[in-house]
Amino acid sequence: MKNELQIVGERRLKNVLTIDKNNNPDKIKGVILSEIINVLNNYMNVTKGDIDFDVAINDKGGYTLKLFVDVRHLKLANHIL
Amino acid sequence: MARRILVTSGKGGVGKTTICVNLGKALTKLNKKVLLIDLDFGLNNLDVVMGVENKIVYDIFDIMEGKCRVEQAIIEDFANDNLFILPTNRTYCPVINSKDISEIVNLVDDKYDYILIDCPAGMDDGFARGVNICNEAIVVVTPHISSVRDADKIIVKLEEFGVSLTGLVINRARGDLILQGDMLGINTIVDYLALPLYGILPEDDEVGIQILVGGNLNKLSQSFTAYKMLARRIAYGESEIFDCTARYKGFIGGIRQKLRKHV
Ligand SMILES: Nc1ncnc2c1ncn2[C@@H]1O[C@H](COP(=O)(O)OP(=O)(O)OP(=O)(O)O)[C@@H](O)[C@H]1O
Ligand SMILES: [Mg+2]
Repeated sequence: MKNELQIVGERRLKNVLTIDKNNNPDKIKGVILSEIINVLNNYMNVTKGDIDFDVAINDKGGYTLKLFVDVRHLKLANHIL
Repeated sequence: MARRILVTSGKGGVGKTTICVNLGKALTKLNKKVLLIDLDFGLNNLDVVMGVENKIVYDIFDIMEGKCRVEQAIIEDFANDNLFILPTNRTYCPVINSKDISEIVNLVDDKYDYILIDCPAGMDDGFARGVNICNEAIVVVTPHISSVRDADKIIVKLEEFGVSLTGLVINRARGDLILQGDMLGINTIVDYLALPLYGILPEDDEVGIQILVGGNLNKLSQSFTAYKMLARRIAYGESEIFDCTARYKGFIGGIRQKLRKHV
């Protein structure tokens, strides 16, 4: 059974973990995005503008990565192989 | 080849050295041959917790300086067959890097089933020296916000260094406080740190008594049982984990809980 103290404690823990992770997200985001673009370009022609990418802190104090890509065509199989 | 396990934590004083010794002892009860290595240079305590401080003739630095062979520096425990320690015993330590340590560990690697490395808290040189020679780690935390927060950072570092198998040990858990809701819950800690839980070790006066005399844990103590489970979990992958709340449940447990609160 959780009481008031435990709830406060858990909230504070979540808070510090979130603050720590929030310290440097933009740099990390940029690096991950450029790697993703490299990988995706094996299968489709995409640029930064086609991608909606975000790294958010989730309520477990970890990260959730969101990635939406609008693309008209996938490359044909013989281009990939 | 030995399984090389780094016992690490973000925050200091959470029980790494104590866990190295008692996990080592528990593993020998499963017929495993165990070497403990003290990489907490300058602030070494593994020898004292094991109770062999008077037996040290050579240490890891003497091997490095060519004053002795590895076998000469390794000490066998008084009370446990198959438990050995490679100590460090200097106040002022010469520069030593992972490569030097790795060469020493490689020389004895095939003689043991487990090599447990006691490393200093934090992410400095001591951590780097240890992590470079291990492919497994145990992250030790206590159920306190500062300890969990620092562990979260160490876990990232372990991933960066390519440690492939890491588990969590929660030390100094107080079942009475957890039941009352006056301590961070076990599930909360496991959820946030997102590591497999290897074991829970209770807050136990027996640990202090053991260190005072440098012997073994009392077989009737909660800690003895908890370490036995931890060793079986690590050696055989068994799933049983010590329940620190059990003795505070039920009628008698309720009385015990109230008494503990008022003493
Ligand atoms: N489960 C426990 N119950 C009670 N006391 C404990 C428990 N675990 C450890 N301690 C005590 O906590 C203190 C610190 O333990 P220990 O030296 O093992 O921590 P450490 O993580 O190695 O510290 P450092 O970071 O300084 O190396 C010791 O006095 C030890 O007796
Ligand atoms: Mg220590």
